[in-house]
Amino acid sequence: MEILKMQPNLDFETLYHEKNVRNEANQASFQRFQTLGLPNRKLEEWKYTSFEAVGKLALEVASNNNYDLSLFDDVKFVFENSLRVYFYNGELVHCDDGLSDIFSHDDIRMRGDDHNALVALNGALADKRYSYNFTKENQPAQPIEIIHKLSENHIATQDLIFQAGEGCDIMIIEHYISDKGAFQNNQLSVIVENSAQLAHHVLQLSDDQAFHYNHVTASVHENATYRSFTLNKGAKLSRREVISHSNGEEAEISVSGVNLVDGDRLSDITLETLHNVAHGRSRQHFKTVLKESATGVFQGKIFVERDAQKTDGYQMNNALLLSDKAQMNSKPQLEIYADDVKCSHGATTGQMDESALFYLRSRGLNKEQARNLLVHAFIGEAIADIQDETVSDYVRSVCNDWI
Amino acid sequence: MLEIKNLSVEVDGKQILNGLDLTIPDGEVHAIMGPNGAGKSTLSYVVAGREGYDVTSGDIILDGVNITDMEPEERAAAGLFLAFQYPLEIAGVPTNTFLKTSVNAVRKLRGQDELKPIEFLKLVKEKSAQLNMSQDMLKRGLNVGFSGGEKKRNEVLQMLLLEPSMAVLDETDSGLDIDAMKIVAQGVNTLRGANRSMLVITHYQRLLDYIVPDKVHVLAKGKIQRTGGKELALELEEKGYGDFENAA
Repeated sequence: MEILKMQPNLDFETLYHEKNVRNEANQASFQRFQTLGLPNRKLEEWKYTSFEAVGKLALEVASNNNYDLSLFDDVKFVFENSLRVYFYNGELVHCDDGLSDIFSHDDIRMRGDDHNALVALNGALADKRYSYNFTKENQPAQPIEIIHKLSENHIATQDLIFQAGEGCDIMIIEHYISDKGAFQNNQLSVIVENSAQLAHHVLQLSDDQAFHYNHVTASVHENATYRSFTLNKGAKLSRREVISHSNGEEAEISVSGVNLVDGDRLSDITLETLHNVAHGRSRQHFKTVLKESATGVFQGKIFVERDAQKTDGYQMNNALLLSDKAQMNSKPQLEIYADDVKCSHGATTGQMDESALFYLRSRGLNKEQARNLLVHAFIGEAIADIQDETVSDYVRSVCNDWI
Repeated sequence: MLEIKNLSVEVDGKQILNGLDLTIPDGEVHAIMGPNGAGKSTLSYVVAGREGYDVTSGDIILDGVNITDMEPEERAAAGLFLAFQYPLEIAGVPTNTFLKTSVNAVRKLRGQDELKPIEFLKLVKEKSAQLNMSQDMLKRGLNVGFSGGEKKRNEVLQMLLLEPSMAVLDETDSGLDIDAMKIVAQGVNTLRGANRSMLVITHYQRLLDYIVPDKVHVLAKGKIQRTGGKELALELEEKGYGDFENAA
């Protein structure tokens, strides 16, 4: 397949035609994408984040599928014994044997829910749908690590499904490692069935000239728990959207993470938790640290339907600005139609606490040690949301290197 | 020994200390008393090197070394310790971790070897027992959920661990009940010795029943207005600070 370079501001038509497989679903999504165009700040949901820059990239689709595992030699896995699935430039390279009953792929299907242009672009260019279907019978004892690697200037669009069947207890870690000029655009559907538990960790560690978009919709059922933790560290421009639905009584949803942004990067976390039924509990908790002239975005919404009585919702979003040029945009929203609920939210944006710095320095720590300790303490509160110690140690060590 | 010579200090362009002189010889404990707004806390901060306190004239000399322009951590290494009136709370940093970081940072600056984890544990266990502090408390975030008394005990614990040659205690009695004050005072008294000086800053005489000073100074209007023995504290308790505040 011939490598195709895009001209600045060219639309995605050429890329679309470059892909071999084009079914009805792809066509529908592509038409939708063309109508919508890349998201820009004129749209309310994209008030702080424009993805128009993606249109100026010289993107290529995967040029061959002869990738091998040596391409992943430099990946630092969280667990030694995890079951792994490897993707390179959007192509499946390898899946560990232990997942053969769980992991499958088929043609992409008509979705009809391409509510924004980037999701539509994903539907237009994704040729397969990759599913992980866990049941109580097939669930592995080990955690699962999925690696999405992208080489320079490549675009990957994937359509993924995680389905945790009734009573399952699953841990998944996704690694996103994209090289400069690359654009990762993934869309994921999560289903957590009755009494199941899914701990989902996303480590976005791309090059700081990469582009990243991730759209997650989760449906969480009776007595089920979905815990999502994001470590967002790389990419020049990134946005992670997690739309989670509490669809069964006593469902529990926790969406938390650490957003580390430096240079002239922009990193956007957009969350929406929808309580559709009663007795649900949810939590949104993010810590953003901004250096240099970086920009952080947090948009968080808790929506409580009229029938979702006794909902217990919590949202906390804190940003720490380590430079005068850094900027944080926060938009917390509560939309509540039930009358017997408990929902609280808080947002803070501030600089390093001078009195805390002085206190630590008076105890012998130099300026840098004192500052680092305070940054650690700040993000430590979000890392505490990770229940598995191996994962939290890994996340802490990545954060240490960044600080 | 701490020598403060002709010290004038401005904060946000406003003069707070005005040619203050004070000498605390080795082994002595001095108390500074004074009305609100006299410059007591400013004195403690400026001695410890807090930013935003501009020394417009004068010198601060610790054990013969001029520390006036030193960074706060360099002063800590030189032997200075400030027990804060309002110790900071830092969630996410366990007290133990903080103590170890502090002790080893100071040891490193003093050219000593860092303590091994087991040595540190032994040391902290011994010192915290003196102050009736539980090991459970030390696992909590730094000063998070600590009562006023626990915070002050934690300050004294740090003082015991860092072994300063000069300790400044800023309103250490504020927020303490009598029992907590006795424990804190006991901790402070164990540190009294020939090579160590202390400056106890307080608004009330009460603490000085437990930490008995060699000298008492009255600070008002940015300088020392009067110096006397421990009986001066009792006199001030009775008469108040009116005379000094009205002084020309």
